Amino acid sequence: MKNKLNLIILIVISLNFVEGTPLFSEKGYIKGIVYSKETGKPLAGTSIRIEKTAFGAIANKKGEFIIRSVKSGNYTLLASLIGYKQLRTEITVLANDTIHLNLYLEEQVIRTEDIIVSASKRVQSVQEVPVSIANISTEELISRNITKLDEVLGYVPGVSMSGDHISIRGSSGFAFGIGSRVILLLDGFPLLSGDVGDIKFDALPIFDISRVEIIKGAGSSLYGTNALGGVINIITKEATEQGSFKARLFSGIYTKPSYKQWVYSDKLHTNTGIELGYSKKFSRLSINSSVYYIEDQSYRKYNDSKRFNFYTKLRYDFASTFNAGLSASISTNNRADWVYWHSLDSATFPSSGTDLSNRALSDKYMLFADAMKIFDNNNFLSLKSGIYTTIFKNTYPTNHSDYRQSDAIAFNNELQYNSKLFKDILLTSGINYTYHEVSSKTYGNRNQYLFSVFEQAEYQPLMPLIITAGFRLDYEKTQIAKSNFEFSPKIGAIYKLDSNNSIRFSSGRGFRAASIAERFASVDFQGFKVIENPNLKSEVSWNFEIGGNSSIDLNSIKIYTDLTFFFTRLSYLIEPTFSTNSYYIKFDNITDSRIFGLELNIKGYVDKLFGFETSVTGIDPRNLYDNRTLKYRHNVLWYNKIFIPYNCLELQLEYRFMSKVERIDEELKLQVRDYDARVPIHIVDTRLIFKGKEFNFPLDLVINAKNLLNYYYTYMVGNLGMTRYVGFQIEGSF
Amino acid sequence: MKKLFLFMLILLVSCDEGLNPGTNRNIATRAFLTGNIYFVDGKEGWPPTDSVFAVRVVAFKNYPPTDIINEILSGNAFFTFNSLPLFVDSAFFSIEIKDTPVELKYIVVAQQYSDTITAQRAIGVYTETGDKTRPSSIKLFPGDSIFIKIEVDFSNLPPQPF
Repeated sequence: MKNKLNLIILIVISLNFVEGTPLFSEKGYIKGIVYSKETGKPLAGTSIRIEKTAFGAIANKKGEFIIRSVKSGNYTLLASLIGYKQLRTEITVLANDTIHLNLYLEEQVIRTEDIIVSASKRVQSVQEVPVSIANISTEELISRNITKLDEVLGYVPGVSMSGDHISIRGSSGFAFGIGSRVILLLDGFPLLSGDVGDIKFDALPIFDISRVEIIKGAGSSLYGTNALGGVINIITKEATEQGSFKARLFSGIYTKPSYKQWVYSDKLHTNTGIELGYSKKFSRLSINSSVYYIEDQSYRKYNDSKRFNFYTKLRYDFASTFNAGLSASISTNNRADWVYWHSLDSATFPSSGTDLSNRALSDKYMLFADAMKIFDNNNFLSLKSGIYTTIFKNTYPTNHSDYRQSDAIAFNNELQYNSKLFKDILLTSGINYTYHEVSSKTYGNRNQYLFSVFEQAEYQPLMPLIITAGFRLDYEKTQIAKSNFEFSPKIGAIYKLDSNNSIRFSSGRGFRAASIAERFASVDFQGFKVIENPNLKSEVSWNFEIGGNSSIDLNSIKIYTDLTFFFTRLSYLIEPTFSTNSYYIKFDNITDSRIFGLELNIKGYVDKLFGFETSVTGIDPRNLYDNRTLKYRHNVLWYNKIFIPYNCLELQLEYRFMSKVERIDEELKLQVRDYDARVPIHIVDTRLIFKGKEFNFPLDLVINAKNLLNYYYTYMVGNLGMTRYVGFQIEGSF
Repeated sequence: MKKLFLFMLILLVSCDEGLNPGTNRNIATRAFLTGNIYFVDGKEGWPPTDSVFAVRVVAFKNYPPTDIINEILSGNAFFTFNSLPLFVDSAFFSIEIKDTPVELKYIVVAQQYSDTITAQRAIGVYTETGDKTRPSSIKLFPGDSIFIKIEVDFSNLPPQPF
């Protein structure tokens, strides 16, 4: 079936991928230069797109761009660059003619007008999307000295991390490292492991990230399984003609803990890394490549790691209406196999009996190809196909009782067609085929596949009103288990009261098919036997939100406010259950719950003085079986940031608060000493940034302190959060 | 804006350092139950090695208890987290009791006989009379540290309550 499907896809694609196919002949060109309105300097890297089409370009070093083969007609041109206001320009393209444009972008200190591709699988403005969105820019990643993507997600309003588990507005708790209720994509390609269904954050490049888009709420109508609580899409950078070579070097120390019981070594431990990146567009060929090596000695004994990642993306423009790309990455991680602390008295030491010579070794390989064919301004076809392999083992002999090993392949194919129906309805249609194959000592030799079709329509009946509606149908079949059908509809609307105020509404369904690990785990885990449960049902969520935002511009003071009320109903949640009679652990569909919540986000900037951001998310997560609060949830998340720019310097101060987790699994009492040691979380980070590149100096410098006040907390049971880290970072572009 | 700054400043100054090594201990209410376990027939009296995975002391508030795991999970039993030394003549133990005053009505030595933590059997019981069918109880008050002795005879096990 896999081969047949691939053949059909290839035939369909190849029919029209020939240069010069005269699907339309009345073509025009758009040429132009983008400048800063304030300084008059050209703005390299500006994205210029024709709205509601797949046509676009990136401005080169001189700010120049060209868009070829545009059918004659009237269009809206959208120019966007981080740090600048979006510019919309109405244009008329004539056949065999070239339009020359000079575009002037105005600086914007509060980012509210980013572009996004994840909400509808096509480029659109955030202001046209009826769901809650968060965007993280590459500047935020680099200035925070982020070395793994999960480190930055904790700064996003409404998002919290419990180990490697992402929880968006309380969608997820701690699930023993298995399953993810948020789907992670790299340029739209899913990166969840085939066995455990989790996110491997150490497999992701950092240098090549342009931005990270986060959709809060169910996204299964477009993305299928795992998009139960939200979608995270990492968008990589596009190469420009001037090219760039970038290097980043960072190093820092974990300061000694305040309590002598927690000092496990006389020397200070470091986190050091180097990252190199190169990108350039050569005529039709674009190349992006980056490589990093990071050695983290950690703030805890037996928690060190050595990580390597290589990422490359090649893109070739066969014609102005046809391009294709190939992305690949290789990641390795050699880390200590830390699980829990010894006790609160010895919070930086591993649990007693831990074999300090054992290492956890993992490799991840990603190979992903995509192609896009533009038929005309409203019709384009795209294909994504790729494979993601995860290999894990520890260093025990294969006949040792604690030997663990799992190799998994996730194969994903998607064919998407964007078109226009009548005058105002934009359609996004597609089919998807996903196949997982696992060879594991723990889970056996298993496979799972999902076949899906999806359709989404966007309709603009009135100028200020945009309505979206869609659905996705998924068929899931796992070896020897019952098959599942999932129907995931969604509807949303956004109404712009004026250019500064809008209200939105959305509702949709999400689901997560049980992973192979949850169905077939058969292992002795710290004294408990875990047994199989192949016929698990999918987890389901129904999500509803209503919100609005407003921008106020009082000359030198600019304030942006967004308020959202959300409600989520979660059913058939899969959790490990402890049997009282038969003495085993089994993953089962047990929890039925609901989450009410409110999220307020305010950003402000006082011209040339300072800027700030504050956001509060309050949730009431309740298990409907026992009317108690859900386990492992923070009921209040509060994020604050103040930044003070002064010439080439900027001082940033961030404070994050997470209320104390009210409930955890009491069964952990048997495995973890002081399992119930937990407190509200207060984390202060600060950094001083020297922005040399903005002043023709080739280097940016950052001095940063994470957890400045050295506040001690647990981020999950038996795990002390990171103690104070002080470091520096040098980044240069050449 | 100034109010926000001020509020954050107050919050930051007022918040303590969070967890510390003593966070989970309420010194005012804690006590210790300590003791020695004597194995009759010494090292030679132990069962085969493939049936001894761990030996722990468990002190129950209730007698008879339902089972070890549920009593621990519901907060009605205290236990030595790690196994005592195996295949020895005698072993020392110490259990921190956090919520005193408390009466411990049944104190046993439990053997885990397979790799499943729930596979437990009683191999010794605390009794002041020497009659293994009549366990003795102990009352602990804040600050107490009581030392007891328990005898384990693998050839003459006490009644199995679990």
